[in-house]
Amino acid sequence: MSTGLPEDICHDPTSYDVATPWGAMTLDLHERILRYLLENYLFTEDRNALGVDESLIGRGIVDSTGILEVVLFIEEELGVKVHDEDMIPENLDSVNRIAAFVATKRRSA
Amino acid sequence: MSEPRRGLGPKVLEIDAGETIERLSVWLRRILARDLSRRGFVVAISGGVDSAVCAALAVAAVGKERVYGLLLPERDSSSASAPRGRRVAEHLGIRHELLDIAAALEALGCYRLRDDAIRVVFPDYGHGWRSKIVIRGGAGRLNHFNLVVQTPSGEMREARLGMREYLQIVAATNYKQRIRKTIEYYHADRLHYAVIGTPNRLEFDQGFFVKNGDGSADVKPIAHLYKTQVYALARHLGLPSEVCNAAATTDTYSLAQGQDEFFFRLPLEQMDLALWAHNHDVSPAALAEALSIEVAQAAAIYADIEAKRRTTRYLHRSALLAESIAEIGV
Repeated sequence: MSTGLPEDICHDPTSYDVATPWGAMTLDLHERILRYLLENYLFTEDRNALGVDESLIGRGIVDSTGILEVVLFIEEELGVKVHDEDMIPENLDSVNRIAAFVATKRRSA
Repeated sequence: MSEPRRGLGPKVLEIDAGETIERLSVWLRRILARDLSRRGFVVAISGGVDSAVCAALAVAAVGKERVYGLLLPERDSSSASAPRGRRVAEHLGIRHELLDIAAALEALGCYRLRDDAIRVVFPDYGHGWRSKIVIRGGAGRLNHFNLVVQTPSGEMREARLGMREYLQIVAATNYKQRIRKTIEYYHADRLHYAVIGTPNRLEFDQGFFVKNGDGSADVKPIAHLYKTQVYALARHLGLPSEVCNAAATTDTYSLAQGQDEFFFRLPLEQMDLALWAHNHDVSPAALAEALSIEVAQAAAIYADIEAKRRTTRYLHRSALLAESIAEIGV
């Protein structure tokens, strides 16, 4: 399926609804979040180093200080405010979860 | 995990205080001579039970003539701390001195750097205000840090700390422990003594110390003892009752901060039991029954203990070498 998006950010286009603006936005979000975590926490460009559904806390990549960094990234780089009640693993504990959380917040803004 | 253990309670933490003190005394004498090649011990006495017990153990081991006590208060120390520490030193009959480190911390910018970060969150923060950091989370939420401030009129306010402000407040505050350790080693060097570190088991296990601050020492005689056991030794050693009855605080922030508020999320007595239970493979169900909490909460406590061990492993590490140097055994 042609997505119209550059090949290097469509690593699995059938996983996302890329035909909609929301889908395209979610893909871009996944990429930005994955790249942020790979560069700042794992110091690698190897995309296989972190699964998009892997628990960041379970893997030991993020602890209580690391969560603050993720929150800072979400607020400053992705433009979404993270409230106290948003700070749950369901929103922040994997690439996919962060992307879904940010996308939801943007839609309701 | 074992089956729910019957009778999990404070009794599991009971020790033979007299035998423990004798064993630690022998050990301290042996390692001082054989491993450290030093002539006595330096111990910073905060007024709390841990440092008081360590000082008393040092006296029991090598005699009061070979123990040097330091009282090192600063601007945010409780006004009761130094007097209580002095009473411990006088009770033990050891040489000691008081040095207020506020001026040194001021010169380093400790208070200014901390307050600058606080003012990012509370712009009105200033003279007469007090502050502390607390951990929030639980009930499914991720652990994070909040700043609690008290205005001069007594009003309390609280807000979540962003990463930069949290790190700067902790970094600036860490100057306190590191300056104290610098002073301890000055005296250790001039007296040819060894420095005693005073963490108890909960603090040591869970990384509740400052790297190269209170985490630095030549010997840590109570790092294997649960806080409850330290209090038992204090009573057996006949330390002043105000020390034996003192609550555990960090004595680091201007607002009184219980150790349970910054690092742990249970009362200390319960954390001791939880840590013991976890170390002895007691099931969450049994712990829940013993603490009268939900099983899910007990499981979360075990997970939190492991998480803190993981994230604070950094604090225990000595310098990593690119290659070992076998000639000196490292």
